[in-house]
Amino acid sequence: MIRKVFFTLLLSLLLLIPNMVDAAGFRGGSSSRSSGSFSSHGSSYSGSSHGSSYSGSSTRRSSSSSSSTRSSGSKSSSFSGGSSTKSSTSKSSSFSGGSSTKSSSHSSGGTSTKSTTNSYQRSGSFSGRTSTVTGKVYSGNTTKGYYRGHPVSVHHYYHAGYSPFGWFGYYHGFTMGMFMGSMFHPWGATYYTGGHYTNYGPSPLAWIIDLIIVIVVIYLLYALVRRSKSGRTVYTRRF
Amino acid sequence: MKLKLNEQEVVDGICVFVANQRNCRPEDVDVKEIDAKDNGDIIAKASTHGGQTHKYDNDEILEGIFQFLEEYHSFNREVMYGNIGFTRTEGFFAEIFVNER
Repeated sequence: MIRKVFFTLLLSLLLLIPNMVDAAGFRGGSSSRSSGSFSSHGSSYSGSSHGSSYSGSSTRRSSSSSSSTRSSGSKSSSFSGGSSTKSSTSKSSSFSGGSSTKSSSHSSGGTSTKSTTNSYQRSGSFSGRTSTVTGKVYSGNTTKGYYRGHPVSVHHYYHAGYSPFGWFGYYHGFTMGMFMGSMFHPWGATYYTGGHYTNYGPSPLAWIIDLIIVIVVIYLLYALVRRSKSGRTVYTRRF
Repeated sequence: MKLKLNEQEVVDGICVFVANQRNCRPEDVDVKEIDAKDNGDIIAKASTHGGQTHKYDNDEILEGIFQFLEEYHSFNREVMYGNIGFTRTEGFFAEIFVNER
């Protein structure tokens, strides 16, 4: 029993360590960027996670209209990235994508710097191939059969490149649950600090307390089940 | 042969079981209470020398009765089987079958 518990703990730690390493690297990246060009922008989080081209556009925009950025725009949608800059003109559509944001900024008559940047970066058109298929291409096959007396042919089209079945999806679900749990956790790693989200790194203290809480909850469930299975006392003889 | 043991003999069996388990005398065992559950389980609570109270279930009580019959009445442990029960009229009892297989 104890050996099983330790094995489970070891397994969960092995699953946690890549996340820790990832988070540590991520934190370092964001801090180094915040010391750079667009530290006043408030979107260092998204900039580090998205890419270099994205951050380039946001720096240019911040130089063109830095005052409007700070005043009202970046509050609601700083996590979504650079588009939050223009939310002084189009607040609701900042997250929805490049095309709508761009059109609204055009109608508002933004500066020329802004429009050229957007037409290049956020045009909404297909910018190129984002993924490549390697190996054998699955072309599909057609199955002929009968359904309620009618001859039917069902074509099994090519699949998405990964198997819809298997165990790896559970790994993704687990890691996503860990990440989202850390966000929703009251002592989690990611905080909303009025304008942007800050990652202070996962807290080991919170892990330990979480572990204690989990053990207590499991014990309570165990006690509840044991109590319900043991039956109700109908008679007690005391000596 | 069928033996029907009353409540006092069931308590004796519990005392013998606890004494053998804890290496003490049966007289030092204090049976605090016996509970009858609605699913047929019988739980005894006993302590030694006023120490911590422990719970003993059906199998342990029955094993104590077997040990009691073996050690104090010279029955052969290998040829005994039985069960313990509770009724409101009789209280706690045990039915032990000897050489009935």
